[in-house]
Amino acid sequence: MAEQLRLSQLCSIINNALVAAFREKSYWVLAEIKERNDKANTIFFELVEKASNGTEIIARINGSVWRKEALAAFRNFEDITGKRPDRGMQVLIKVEISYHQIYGLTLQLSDIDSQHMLGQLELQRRNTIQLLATKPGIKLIDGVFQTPNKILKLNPVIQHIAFITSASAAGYQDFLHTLQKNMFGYTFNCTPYFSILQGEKAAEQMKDQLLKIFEDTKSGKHFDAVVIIRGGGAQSDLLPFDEFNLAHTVARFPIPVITGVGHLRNESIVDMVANVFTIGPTHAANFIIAQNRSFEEQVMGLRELITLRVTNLLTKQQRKIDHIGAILTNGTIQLLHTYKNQLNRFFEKIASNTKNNFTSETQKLNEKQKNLSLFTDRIFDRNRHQLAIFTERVKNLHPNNVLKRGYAMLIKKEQLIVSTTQIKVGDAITIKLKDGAIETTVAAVQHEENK
Amino acid sequence: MSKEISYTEALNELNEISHAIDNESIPLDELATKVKRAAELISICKAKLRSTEDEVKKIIGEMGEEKK
Repeated sequence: MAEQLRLSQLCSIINNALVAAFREKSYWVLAEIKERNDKANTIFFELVEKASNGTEIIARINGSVWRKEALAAFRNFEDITGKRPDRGMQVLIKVEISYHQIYGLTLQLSDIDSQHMLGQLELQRRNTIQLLATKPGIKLIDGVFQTPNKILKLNPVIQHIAFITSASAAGYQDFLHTLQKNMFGYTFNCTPYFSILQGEKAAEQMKDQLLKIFEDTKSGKHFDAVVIIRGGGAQSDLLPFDEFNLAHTVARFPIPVITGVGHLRNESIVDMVANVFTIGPTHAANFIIAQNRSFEEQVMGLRELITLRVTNLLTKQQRKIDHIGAILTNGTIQLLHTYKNQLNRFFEKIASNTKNNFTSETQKLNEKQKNLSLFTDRIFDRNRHQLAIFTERVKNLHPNNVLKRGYAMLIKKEQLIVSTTQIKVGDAITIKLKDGAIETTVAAVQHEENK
Repeated sequence: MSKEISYTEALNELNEISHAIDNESIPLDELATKVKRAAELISICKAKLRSTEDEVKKIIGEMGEEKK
């Protein structure tokens, strides 16, 4: 018969062996949390490893966290990563082997690696982004999303706002306060839709509120935009905003979504797919106010333009009328001148014609007169000439002139003797010569016939 | 005039008369009548312009007084 041991003795041997093998040894182990149980000051985990097909369990050990430092490490992990180590999560934990003769082989967890988890989260985030990019209507170009929500045109005036927030979030108050205290006097109609913003259930609740908003618009409510706001918090609290379903819903949401989830570093996936991304509640409120202000400025600009144009138009019309008035005045005067000139020309024509008539008639008369004069002159001249000739002749015939020529006049008893018949011998005659007279007596007379 | 003539109609008529005078196509007999009509139209147009200007100025003034 083999050696017989009591169970506790066996356990002791096992214990010794284990202690010997694992004294002061710790290991960093990758494991999946199958179960988590929180009791008093201890956390109990069921740790497993699954086969590559993802379902079959190929290893299992239970573990616990109870040491103060360990618990602190676990709280730290939650702070950094924003995730609570829980069912389904792959974690990198530091473990020591522990054996208890009643509770068996367990692991004592002393630490949990945040970076590993962050790496996992980052990986998951990238996967979510890739997955979103494959969905219809959504495109990823150079790391920037193009989504139906982004394509929506934001109303020029945003007044009716649905906002998703946590009732207790500081961001909620900041957002409302900034909106209501705007310096332009704009008023807003804000409807809150409450949801938790942190933790595992946050993404689903927010998604549900989005759907509720959509339902409400179908039954008559109108919203210009949906704003998701969260007061400042740790980067880790952004995890719900990287969740696939929430992001997918926002990407396709038919009302423009404005995000103001207040963080320091990168955008969450919801920020990347929403219509407008702002870095916090106050910024989201200011964005809305600026949008409205820009519209108001446009209107005021138009008002200025209209005022200017109207004034110009009226001035132009005024000038046009004045211009027409001037044309009419000048034109009329011109026309009257023209008529007057026409008349004058007629008159002058008549006048000059008449004058011409007179002139020509006068000329003709003058001609005639001249001719008459000429004629008469000529007649007179001729007569005078004749007369002169006669006169000459007569003058020549005057006894004195005859005498001058050397002839003598015989005068008997004061009678001129022209013929021999008039005298006889012995008559006393006077012979007149040019320069005197001779008294003589006729001595002889001779008569000649045919003279 | 029974019906009040519109600004556009008045302006058109003015233009017609203006052209006619420019072309010297108005016989002397009608000149006085046409010029009288033109003066009438001008005064109508000016009155309309004035009243429009006043009304517009008033509206612009009111716009300016509204908040912001």
